[in-house]
Amino acid sequence: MEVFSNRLLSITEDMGNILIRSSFSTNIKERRDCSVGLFDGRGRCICQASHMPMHLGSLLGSTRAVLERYSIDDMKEGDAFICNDVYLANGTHQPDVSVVTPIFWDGIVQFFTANVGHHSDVGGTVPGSISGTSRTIFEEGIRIPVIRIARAGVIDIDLMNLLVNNTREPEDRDLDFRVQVATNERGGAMLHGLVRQMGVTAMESAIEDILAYTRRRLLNRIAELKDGDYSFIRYMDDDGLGGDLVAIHATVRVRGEDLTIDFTGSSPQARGAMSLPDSALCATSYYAVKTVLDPELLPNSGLFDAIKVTSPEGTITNPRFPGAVGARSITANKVAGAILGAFQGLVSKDRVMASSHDSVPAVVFSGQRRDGRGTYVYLETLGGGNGARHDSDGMDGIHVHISNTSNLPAEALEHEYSLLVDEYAFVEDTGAAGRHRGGCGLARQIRVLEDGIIFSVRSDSHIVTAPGVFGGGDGHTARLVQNHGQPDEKILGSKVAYIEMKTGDTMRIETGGGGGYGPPGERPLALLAGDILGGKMSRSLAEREYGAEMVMAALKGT
Amino acid sequence: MNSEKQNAADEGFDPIAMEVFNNRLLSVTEDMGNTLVRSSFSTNIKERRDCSVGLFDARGQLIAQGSHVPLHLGSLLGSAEAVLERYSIDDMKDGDAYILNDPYMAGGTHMPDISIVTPVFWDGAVRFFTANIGHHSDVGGSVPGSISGTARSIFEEGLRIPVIRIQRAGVLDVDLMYLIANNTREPEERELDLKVQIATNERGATMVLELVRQMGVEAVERSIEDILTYTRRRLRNRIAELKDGDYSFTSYMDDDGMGGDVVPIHATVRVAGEGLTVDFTGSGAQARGAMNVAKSALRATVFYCVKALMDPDLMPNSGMFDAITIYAPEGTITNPRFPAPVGARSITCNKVARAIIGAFEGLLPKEKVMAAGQDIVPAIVFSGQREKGVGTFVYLETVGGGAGGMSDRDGMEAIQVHMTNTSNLPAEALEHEYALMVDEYALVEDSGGAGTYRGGLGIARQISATQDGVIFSVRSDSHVIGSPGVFGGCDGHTARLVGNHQCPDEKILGSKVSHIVMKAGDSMRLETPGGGGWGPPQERPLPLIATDLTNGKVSRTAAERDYGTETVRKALAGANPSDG
Repeated sequence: MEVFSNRLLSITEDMGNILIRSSFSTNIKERRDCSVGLFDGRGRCICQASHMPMHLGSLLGSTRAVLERYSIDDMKEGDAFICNDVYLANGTHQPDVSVVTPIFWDGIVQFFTANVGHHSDVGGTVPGSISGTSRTIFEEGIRIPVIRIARAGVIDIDLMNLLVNNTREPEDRDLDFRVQVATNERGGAMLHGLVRQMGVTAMESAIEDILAYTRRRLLNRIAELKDGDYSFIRYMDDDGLGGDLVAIHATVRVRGEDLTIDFTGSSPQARGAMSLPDSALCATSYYAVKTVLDPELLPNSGLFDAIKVTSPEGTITNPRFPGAVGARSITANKVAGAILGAFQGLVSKDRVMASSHDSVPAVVFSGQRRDGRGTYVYLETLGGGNGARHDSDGMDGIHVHISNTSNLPAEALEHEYSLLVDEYAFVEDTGAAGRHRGGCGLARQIRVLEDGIIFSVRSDSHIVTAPGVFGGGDGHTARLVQNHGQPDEKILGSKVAYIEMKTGDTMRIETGGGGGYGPPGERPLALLAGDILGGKMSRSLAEREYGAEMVMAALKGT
Repeated sequence: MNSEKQNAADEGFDPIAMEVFNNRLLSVTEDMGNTLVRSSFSTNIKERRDCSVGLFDARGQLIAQGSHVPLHLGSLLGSAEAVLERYSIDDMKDGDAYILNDPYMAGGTHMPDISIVTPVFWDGAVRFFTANIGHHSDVGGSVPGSISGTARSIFEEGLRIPVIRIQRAGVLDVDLMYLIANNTREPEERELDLKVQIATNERGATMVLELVRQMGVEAVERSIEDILTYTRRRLRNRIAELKDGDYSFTSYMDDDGMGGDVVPIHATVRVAGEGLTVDFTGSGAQARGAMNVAKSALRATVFYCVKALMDPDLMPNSGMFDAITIYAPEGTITNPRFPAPVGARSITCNKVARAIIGAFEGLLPKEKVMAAGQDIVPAIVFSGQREKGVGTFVYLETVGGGAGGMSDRDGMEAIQVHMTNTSNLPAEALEHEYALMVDEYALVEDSGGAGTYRGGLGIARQISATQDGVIFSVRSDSHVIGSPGVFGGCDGHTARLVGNHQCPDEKILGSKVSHIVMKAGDSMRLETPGGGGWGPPQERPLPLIATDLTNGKVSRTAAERDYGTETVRKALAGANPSDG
């Protein structure tokens, strides 16, 4: 079983590499904002390589959507399906476009290969297609229900033409969609190799085995937990259009082998684009449970079947059509934070982690391509501070929970776009004090080199901090500054859209820090000295948090 | 037989046969138009008749059309051309149908106008195309109704459909239909109406083929050549009668959708022998908002004006287009660069019409000159929850205004001018379908410019919401600049938009506001502009002044201001001597 499972993982790894290496858009080739998966003929996930845990939602949802709309009998070898829509095809937001391909053996659909890529623009009101202030899904770009993009091996070029021209970067989209179709074909060829070696019957029974094993293993983990209801609330600054704090209320309910995650008590559906659709909520819940209970668990449908997720309709965790959802990854991270918080009551102290920045701050710049061929859309999501753990400080400047992309290197960025990276650094004093310190947030300041660059941002935790645990402090908030250090410096809100920038203008985002673990008084002096000398915490803040005497002692030790 | 037809006969045509043939073609387009209007589901097509039909030959030449909306002529032409640019005739199959809307990729004028073009086969070859266009009340995008004066790019204006086959050899592509319909706020209506559009073309094809069966295909093709040649010749003759030279006029828009300065539309009509050029050099820069005019829309506007001014009976076919050259510098409001928004272009088109008509003042005898009409297409859009059934409704209304005074009569009241020509949605249908109530629908007193012949009056339309959360958007113009009168006539009154008219929280709104959320009981009142007057007010016949006063079209105060107290007293005495 272990061998078989590794064979499957090697296929998804290979698919992931092909997707990344062959893609044209910086968001997929450099930032790796994409994922791949293998499914059986019934649509059960047998293996996946989610670079982004959030993408698991799209992969599962897309395959289900294909099977809901098309009969397997109507599929032909060489067909490929494309979809993105949240309400029509179980997507998680419009820029994540999935391609699902039936893989035939002996004339019948035996598997599906699937992949998803975050396309940096799919049309809509703002470049990048996501604005926290969007009011409906109709502002968020083209809605692709499940539709055949290839028929029996032939790409439908008219449909391709329609799809790509509904985005601000038709050439990148066209090329990357083709790469997505080809990636699945490559996955199919590798599956064929495996079937040829093993025989289809042996393979089917091996799949049953790993699904059953995964499920049983997770049920055992759940059975070890103490029955009861465990709740935690994590807050968001607003719902995209201002107003009050938004509560994400997670209750983890354990009854024997049953585990339910219930979001009753969460705030109403957002007026802006912060709502989290069902497939994204499930993906986030699966991620959190796997992380807390059994990080080595194989990510397949056996795991998913063992967990029940519920959320009342009309809440931020289960929006009604046509609610906007573009900025849902921020909410997903708050959901992950809430679930992990609820598990604090269930797991031993050494498995508890303080809250991380629990956001996915995203900045988008759009302007004219240098080669004159239309516009570019540069999207970046940034890391922040991780929460501290019982045995280590939180990591600095890292993507947390459901997001896991690379940054676009400054070199690639400045080469491709009329932008300049002024600064990329850790933000001093953002990680909370504690026996173990929270991670530091990132500062990224970008200068525009031509007039008329359009900037949008979606972020959160500009008001709400990352709570520490067991006496640890709270991580610092994020902030967005236009023309930092200039006479016209201006602090902007967390969800501003469509700001026109002039040559020389800068945007600086500072992301939030992580919470601390344990009382600051227990921090080892050597670590404290390292913080101060490493520039991660200023002496003045250290003296306030740890006391002047402790700081002096720490520095003397060095 | 008039001299034109004599000419035609001299060139070897049979003028009577041509007239008969042309009427046969027109009966096809009329029938298609009726089919489209009667079978549609959306109020905007079935009641407001915001749709048009056309018949093309295999080369994409327009041979007959039933444009209820002159602006649609541009889309129809552009659509047929776009289909032929993207697809080879040899790759078409009987039963194929193409769908398209995009202004930059498919000859459209704005995205809500969706065209269906269908190749018509005879003996295995494409001989004709039937085409029709409908204004769909929503195609997605930032605001319900898909058009906002403040949109910043075409990507905010809904689904872009380049040319694509919606039906292959008689089989509807249900997946594509599903995609298109679900990119709009009213998927059910879109799907039903698009199916009606496909069927309308099939009906047109059947009638055309019937004609071919009767006449034989060679005779039909020869007759088509004849009417195109005849139309071309006739218009060239008209142009040749004009005096050579350059004639210019500038009309103005309040703003470019995003506020700022007034925007000039500068038209120069250049006559040289049998050729006519309309040149828009000198017009304002490309609008930041959605007021730009795409190529097809500009073309339709020019053709409309030339036909209206020079030969209203001219058959609208490709023959007339050959004689006219159009030029507009790239990057101006009359020739925007991709991806500039174009949603509210009909307002600009009417200002373009004003500029062309103004330029022709120097070319035409005084009695053919008309004062400016409202020269906009004010549009209001309300969207909310359907009371019956599921989902949202999107109710779109374009509202008429005053026409300009003419040499022998007053301007018509409350009429759609130039490029647009839709019905209103009757109050009954409106209140039946939507959570809305028509509070008032009336002429606006004193809105027509005084003159020997007065400008027509604008319309007041006040609608209140009967549920919370109705979303309102408007695109209008001439809230700042009135319609100019001619030969001493006064300017027509400007438009205005009033929220909660005569309530304590009454508020005057701008001409291009979007996404206003209304509560139950809130009202929106749009008053459209009046037309300009023709000739000095002092020369207005007294009985007409008296009628204006007794009918409430002009108040006594305004009449005394414009015509003089003495004249008004005399007029009233004449109308009712016993009061004298």
